[in-house]
Amino acid sequence: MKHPAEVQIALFAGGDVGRWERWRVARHVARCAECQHEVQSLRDAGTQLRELSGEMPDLPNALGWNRLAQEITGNIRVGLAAGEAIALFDKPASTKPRLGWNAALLLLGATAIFAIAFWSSLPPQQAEHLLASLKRIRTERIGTVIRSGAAAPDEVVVEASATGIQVKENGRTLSLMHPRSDGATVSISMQGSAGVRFVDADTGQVTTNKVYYAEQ
Amino acid sequence: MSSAYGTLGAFVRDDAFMSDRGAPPTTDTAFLAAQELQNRFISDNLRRIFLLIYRIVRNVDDAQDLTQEAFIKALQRQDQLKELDKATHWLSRIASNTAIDFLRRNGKVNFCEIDTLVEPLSEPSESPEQAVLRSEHRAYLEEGLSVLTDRERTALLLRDVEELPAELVAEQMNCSKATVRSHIANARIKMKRYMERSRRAAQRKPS
Repeated sequence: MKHPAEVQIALFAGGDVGRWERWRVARHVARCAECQHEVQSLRDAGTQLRELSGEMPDLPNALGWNRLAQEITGNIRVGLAAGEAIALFDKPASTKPRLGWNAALLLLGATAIFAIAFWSSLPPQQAEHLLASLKRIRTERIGTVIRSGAAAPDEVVVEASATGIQVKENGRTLSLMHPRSDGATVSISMQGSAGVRFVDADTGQVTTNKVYYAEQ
Repeated sequence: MSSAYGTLGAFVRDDAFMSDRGAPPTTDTAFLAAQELQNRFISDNLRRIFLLIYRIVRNVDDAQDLTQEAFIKALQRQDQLKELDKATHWLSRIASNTAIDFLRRNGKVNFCEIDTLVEPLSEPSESPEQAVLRSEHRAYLEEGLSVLTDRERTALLLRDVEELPAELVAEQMNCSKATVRSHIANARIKMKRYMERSRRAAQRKPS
């Protein structure tokens, strides 16, 4: 009697053969004590494997399963919370419709009217100062506020640049420097203040330095 | 807030701190119930999943990391966790996939190569009877599993311990059903021979 291949018997024992193959092997096994024994041994081995698979392995440093389970559970919670926190930052950008052309033109027109009205309402001296300051910003790429007139030696000058803010008076200078940052934003105001706003590349922290000049 | 609290709700919600500002108490009740359900899901499955992963990767530290990874992956995909029984099955799939990916990454194991059916390397160091007496089932099992290759062990555990159909095992191991059937058959034969040798060794030893 020709026995089925060992591999066939192994698959048959676990129910992993097709219908025709199952019928063919079952017919042989029913009449062959040797193959019956083989099938039974394979099934016994499978049963033993399932029973033993529930055994916990030796855990390192006498760490009990309960302790390890607590540790794993805690880490799962941290992982889930971290995932949720990251997901908040990864939310897709708002899908609000962009400003339409008509609205943009309207806004532009309103801004122009406001600028003209503001300029015409300024006293001529202030308008000149503003014009001079804007010219300096354009040509020197720094923000400068001059308290009155040109930068005479006895005048107070508040100056802001990408490296810091300086106050100059009577030949003396007080500087408020900040770390070099590519994203520094320099601002000045007509009231005699200068500011620098920069972002720390490592921490993302935003710092704003603002220096005001107040007449005593 | 869009979490489906009827299933396995998320831990972190957009309005998690709303209770201080007078959110309806039912919201917190639902949130706590979801948390409770999630906790139970973890505790009910933790041991089983840890053991499955451990038997595949055969290292406690790696098994711990991979178990955490598997649960996090499963609980982040709440749409797959609508019903607990399906969630349990889904978790097993994620766990075995995570372990298989780990073996692929670290051991460069190709699950689709077929191993030759060679005899296990060594005689078992102890009989199953002695192992039972000394409550060392695990040593006996681990020694038995050590005669299998990574692919045979993984296929055998998924088919005969996790009782997944061969088609699913093939899908998880990302190879053909014929290859997986070969892994399963070889693994069963090797395990049977190992157990038979153990028994013979026990009979030879004086009682």
